[in-house]
Amino acid sequence: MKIVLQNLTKTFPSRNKKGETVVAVSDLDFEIPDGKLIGLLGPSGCGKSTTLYMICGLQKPTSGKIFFGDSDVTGLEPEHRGVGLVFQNYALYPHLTVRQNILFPLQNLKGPDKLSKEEMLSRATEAARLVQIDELMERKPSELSGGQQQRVAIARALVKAPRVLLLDEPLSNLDARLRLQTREEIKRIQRETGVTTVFVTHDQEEAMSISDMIVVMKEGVVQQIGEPQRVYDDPENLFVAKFLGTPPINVFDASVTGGFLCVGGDRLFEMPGEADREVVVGIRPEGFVPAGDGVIGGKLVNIEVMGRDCSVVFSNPACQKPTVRAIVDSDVRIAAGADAPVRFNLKKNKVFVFDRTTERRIMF
Amino acid sequence: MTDKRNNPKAWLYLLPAVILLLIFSFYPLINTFRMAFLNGYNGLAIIGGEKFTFGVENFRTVINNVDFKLYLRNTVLLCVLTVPISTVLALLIAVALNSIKPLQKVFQTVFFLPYVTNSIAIGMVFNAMFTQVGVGDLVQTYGIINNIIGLFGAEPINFVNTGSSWGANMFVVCTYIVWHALPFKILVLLGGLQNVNKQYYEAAKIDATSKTRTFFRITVPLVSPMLAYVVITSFIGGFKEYSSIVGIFGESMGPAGSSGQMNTIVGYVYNMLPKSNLGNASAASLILFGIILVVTAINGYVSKKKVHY
Repeated sequence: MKIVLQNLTKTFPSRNKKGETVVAVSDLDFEIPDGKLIGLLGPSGCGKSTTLYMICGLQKPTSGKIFFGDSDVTGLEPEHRGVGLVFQNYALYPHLTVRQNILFPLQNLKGPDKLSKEEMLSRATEAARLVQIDELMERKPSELSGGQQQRVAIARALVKAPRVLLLDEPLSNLDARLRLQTREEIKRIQRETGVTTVFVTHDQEEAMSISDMIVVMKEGVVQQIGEPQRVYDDPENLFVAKFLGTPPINVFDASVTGGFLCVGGDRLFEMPGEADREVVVGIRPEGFVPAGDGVIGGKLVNIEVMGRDCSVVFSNPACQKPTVRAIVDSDVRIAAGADAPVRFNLKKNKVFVFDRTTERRIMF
Repeated sequence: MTDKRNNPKAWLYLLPAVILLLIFSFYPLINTFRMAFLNGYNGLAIIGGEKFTFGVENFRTVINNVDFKLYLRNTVLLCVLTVPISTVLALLIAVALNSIKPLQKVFQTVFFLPYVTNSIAIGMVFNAMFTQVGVGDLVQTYGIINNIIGLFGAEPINFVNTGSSWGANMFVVCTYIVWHALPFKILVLLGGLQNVNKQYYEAAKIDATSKTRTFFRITVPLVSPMLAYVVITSFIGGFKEYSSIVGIFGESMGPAGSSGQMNTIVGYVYNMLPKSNLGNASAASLILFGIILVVTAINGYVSKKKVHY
């Protein structure tokens, strides 16, 4: 089932001033293709959860429309939308066993959809097997670990064969190891069921790793939509460039002077045809290549060896943060003490130039 | 580090409370047992230096007393009738209160008023509401309830005055107790409801759960600890019912001329005191204690099975 959001806007009445409103989501307009896993990504307060709640119907949009396939569901109550929702803290009924929790949505079916007892049980078992909790069916939620509860919540959302599966920060309550495992699990379950899935997260790594497509949001406005790698390689603005990637991108105050991109006193690239102006340059940590006669550099602060590669931390006065972090191959030996000068050449495709005021990308 | 259990300073700090407890709780408690098991124990006789033998005569006297049987029946009936009714009503009102936003605080205050009002005063008001002035054909005026009944064209009922039936009395007392019990229960249950995570309801909504099913399968189980608490405390309170009846009927514990047909076990205990039947009063107290103990134990057992998490 594809989902279409048309000019979707949600405003809330302001808390302190009467009559004023706060825009939570502004003019969302995109299409989620059938059977894909979509990550809504952004910092807290960017409207991603509100968007999710509007898709499931718990919140009504102020304006705009939502379509499931070709049918307009904007005015439809959540119970008639056929969505499965996994809450951030799972919202499993604490007084019911795992089996009863999974059966709960099925027992609500009425009329022609009504199932026989055996059918319900077999579907519950099937859902439990899918998320690999079929051995825990008689337990209460309080007797389960966080990861197991998460699976029960997913099973409960999937058991009624929803048209759309929605997950609200599905991994935020899990510890780091379980998070890795569960996110692969979610991807596997989504692939096996083929259900269109939307999940919300503030963790860019999480979103990048499992999504077919990510939607980066900021202050209720969509910044960029696309395949994770494409968005990472080709950010449309400074916010997206900064938000994606760990360690984060290094941002420098720079200028275009006489057709050259300059950071501090260093000339990085030729930018023919560009008028002289102030810009911002973002350089991904993996974009640095150590070279004695490199185009950019600074004073060495520290070298952090991490086995596979190592981080070279150095200071450069033009950088917006006190230090610049470059990730280089651990084969490369930089034998130097603190405050020693280091120089790097740059991989051009890891360097992005943005307008200083609009923060939009300048292609070169 | 010194052993905390034998810290003399700690005992010193506890001393005022311990002394008061010893004098006003433990001594009376133990003495009640003693008096109950001294045959024919009598407050006046003991001044005369009479000696009493241990035995269960007091209990035999109390149990064989015709009045006591009526009072026991009254007490049990009051409990059995009022506890379920007031609990269900309180739950419904609490759910309703919880689901409204505007005026919630106002209604909460209104519902809480009976709790802070003197029970004797309420009893007198109830009496005035249900009363009739004059007897038989000579009735001059009726209380508001009979006036309302009259609006529907029904005959007035003698609720609380001379010659009124036991059933009519029971109805008035039960109404009083239910009304008086509501605020505390509403408060406790509303507190419970407000602690229920709203996401359970959102999850239920997405799963197309009907309102009735949501109430019985989600709301009730999730407030079941509060329900159990409310039921246990109101059973205990119900068995000790006394002041409501004094409020409505005065010390006669029933309509005039009925020789206390609405009296309760606690009322019986009070009746025994002026007659210096301390032995009988103690025995009756212990019987009441036993009943409450058993009922509470049953309550506790049932709620352990039924109360979730």
